[in-house]
Amino acid sequence: MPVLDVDDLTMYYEIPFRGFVRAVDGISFSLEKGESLGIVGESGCGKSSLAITLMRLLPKNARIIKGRVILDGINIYELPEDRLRKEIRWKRISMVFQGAMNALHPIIKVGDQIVEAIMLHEDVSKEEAWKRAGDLLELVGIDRSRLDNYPFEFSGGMRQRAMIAMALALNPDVLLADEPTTALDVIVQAQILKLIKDLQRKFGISLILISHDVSVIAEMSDKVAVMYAGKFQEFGSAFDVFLNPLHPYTKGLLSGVPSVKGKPRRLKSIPGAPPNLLNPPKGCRFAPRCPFAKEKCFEEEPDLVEIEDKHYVRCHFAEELREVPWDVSE
Amino acid sequence: MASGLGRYLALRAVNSIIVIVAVVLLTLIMFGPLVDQQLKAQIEMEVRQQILKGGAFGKYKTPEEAKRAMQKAIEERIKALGLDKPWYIRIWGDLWRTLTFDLGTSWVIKSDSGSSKVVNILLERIPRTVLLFGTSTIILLVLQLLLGAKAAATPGSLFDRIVVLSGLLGYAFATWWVGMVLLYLFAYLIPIFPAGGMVSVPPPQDPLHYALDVAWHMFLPVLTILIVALGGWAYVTRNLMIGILTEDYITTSRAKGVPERKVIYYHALKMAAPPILTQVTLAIASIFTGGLLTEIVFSWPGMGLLYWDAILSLDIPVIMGDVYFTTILIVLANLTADLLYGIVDPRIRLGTGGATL
Repeated sequence: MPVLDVDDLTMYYEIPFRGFVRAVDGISFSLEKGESLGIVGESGCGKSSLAITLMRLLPKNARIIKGRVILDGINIYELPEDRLRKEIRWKRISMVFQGAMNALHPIIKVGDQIVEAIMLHEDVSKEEAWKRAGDLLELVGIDRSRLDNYPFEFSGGMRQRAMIAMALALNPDVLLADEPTTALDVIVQAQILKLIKDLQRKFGISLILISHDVSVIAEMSDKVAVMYAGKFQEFGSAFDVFLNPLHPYTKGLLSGVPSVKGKPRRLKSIPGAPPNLLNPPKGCRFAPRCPFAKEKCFEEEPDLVEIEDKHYVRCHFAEELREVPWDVSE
Repeated sequence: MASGLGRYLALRAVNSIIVIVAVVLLTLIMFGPLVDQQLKAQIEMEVRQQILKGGAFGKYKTPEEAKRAMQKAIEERIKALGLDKPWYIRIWGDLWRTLTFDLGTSWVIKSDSGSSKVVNILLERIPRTVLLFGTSTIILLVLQLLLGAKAAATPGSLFDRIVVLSGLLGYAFATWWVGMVLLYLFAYLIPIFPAGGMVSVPPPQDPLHYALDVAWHMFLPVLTILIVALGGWAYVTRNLMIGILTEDYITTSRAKGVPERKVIYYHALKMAAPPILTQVTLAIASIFTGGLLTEIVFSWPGMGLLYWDAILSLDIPVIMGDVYFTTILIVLANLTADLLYGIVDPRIRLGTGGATL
C-alpha cells in the first residue's frame, strides 16, 4: 500500500468577481515508502501550490474543488483541523521550504524552534526535547552547541541543514522539499542534496522534491512528474522521462540544460510564457507555445495516457513526435 | 552578549544628551532677548523705587542730577548681573545653570506648597504628568497589539473593518476636541465623571480611596488619548501583522502544527514587536503633546497645564524649566523604548545580522 495516494487533486484560487486561478488541476500520483518523486516545472506552473495543497496549508481564498490526499489510509481533507494539526502535520508529513533564508523564525533560537516542533506532538520534557534537538543538529552536521544560536548567526547552508533537522524531528513518513536549495550556491546545494538523500535512505522516508532545476530533480528522484500550467504533462520513472522524453514540453525543458558528458550544443529555450491560469487555453495548455501544435491541440485537451509501461504523457501526438527533437528557431 | 547591548545603549545615551543640550540652547536663544528686556525693566523699576522711597531724592539739587544718578545706579546693577555682556557670551552660563537644574525663581506662578523656585514647581508637576501619560501609553500599547493582531488574523472581517475605520477616524480627530466632547457628554449631560482636576476637594484621606479617586478623575483624559491614538496604532500593527503572516517562517510554524492562536500571538507578534517599538518611539513626542493638551482641557495639574498657565502669565523661567523637563521626559521615554528594542530583537542585542537596522 502506498504511503501517499493523491487522487484527482484540484485546488483553485478564488479571485472575487473574476473567477478561479486553476493552480492545481487534477493531479494524481502515489508514493511508496522510501520512494522519491521529483516535480519539475517553470515558475508559476503550480508546484508550490501543489505543495501547500498536499500539506493542507491553504490560504483563505483557496478552494479544493475535488480530489483526495490519502496519507497512510487517512484522507487529510476529512480530518478536523485540530486532529490534522496534532496527528498529521510534521508528524507524518513535514516540509523543507524554499528560501532557506526565511523559513526559520528570525528571532527565536534554533534550538527552541526544533524543541517546539517536538513538544507539540510528543509528550516529552523540555530537557529531553532539547537533547533530541541536539542529536538532530549533529545528524545534519552542525555542532549541538549551536542550538543556542539564532538563525541570523547561521550561514544559508546551515539554516537549511537546521531546517532539515527540524523536518526530521518526528520521523515523518513523507518529506516535502519545496526548492530546498534555491538560495544556495552550487557547492552548498550539492551538500544539502546529498544530505537529504542520505537521510531519506537512512530513515526510509518518502520524498517529494519540487524544483525548477532539472538537474536537481534528475539526481534525486526515482519518479519524475513534469508539471505545466497546473497539470502533470508527463509522469514516469526518472530514466524514462529524462532519457526518453515524450512530451514536447519536457523536450523543451531538457534542451535548456547543458550536458557535461555529451557533445557541446547550443542551449535552447521555450519561447513565450506559461498561460494565465485564470483563463487557461481551451485545448492543450501547452499548445500556444508548442512548435508542433496542430489544430486539434487548440480544440481538445489531451488526457494523461500511459504510452509505455508506467510512462504517462499528456499529448495528442506523443507517438508521432517520439523521435522528433525539440527545435525552435531562435 | 552584553557588550553589544551596552554599546548600543551607550550610543543612544550620548545621542540623548546631545538632544537635551540642543533643545535647551535653542530655547535660551529664543527666550534670551525677552528675558533681558524683562530683567532690565525690573531693575529700572527697583532702582527708581529705591531712590524715591529711601528719601535720597533730596540729596540731588536738580532733576537732571537725580536722573543721572539713577542711570548710574541702573548701569551698575546691570553690570553687576553681567547683563551688559553680549548674549552669545552669557548664554553659556545660562546653559550650564539650566543643565544643572539651577532654574531660578518664577515671576508669577507658585507651587502648591507656596515655593517660587521653578525646580520645586516642576517637581510637583512631573509625577502627575508621568502618571497620566504613562498609564495611557501602557494601555495604548497593550490594546494596539491585541486589536491589531486580531484584525490581521481575519483581514476583511467586520472586526478588521471596524479597526481600520476607527483608526482613520481617530487619527482625524483633534485631541482637545475629543476631550471637550467627552466632557460635554460625561461630565455635563450625564454627569458620571468629574469635569476636571486630579482629586476631589477635599481629597479622600485613606490611600485606597485616594487612588480610586485619582483613577476616576483620570478616566476621561485617558479615554481621550485612547480615542485619538489607539485606532491609528492598531491599524499600523494590523498592517505589519498582515505582512508578517505571509512570511515563510509563519508557514513553517503552521506546517509544524502550531495552533493558529499561538502562530498569531506569539510567532507573528514577536516579529512585529521591534517595528512597533520603533513606531512607538517616533510617536512618543506626539502622544506627549496630545497629553499636554488633554491636561489643559481637563485641568489636570501637570506639566501641560503648567505650560498654559505660564504662557498666559508670561512666566518665562517657568516656561523654560517646563521645556527642559519635557525634553528630558521625552528623551527618557525614547531611551526606554530603545532599551526594550534591544531586548526584543536579538539582532540588535547581539550586534550581528543587523539587517533591520
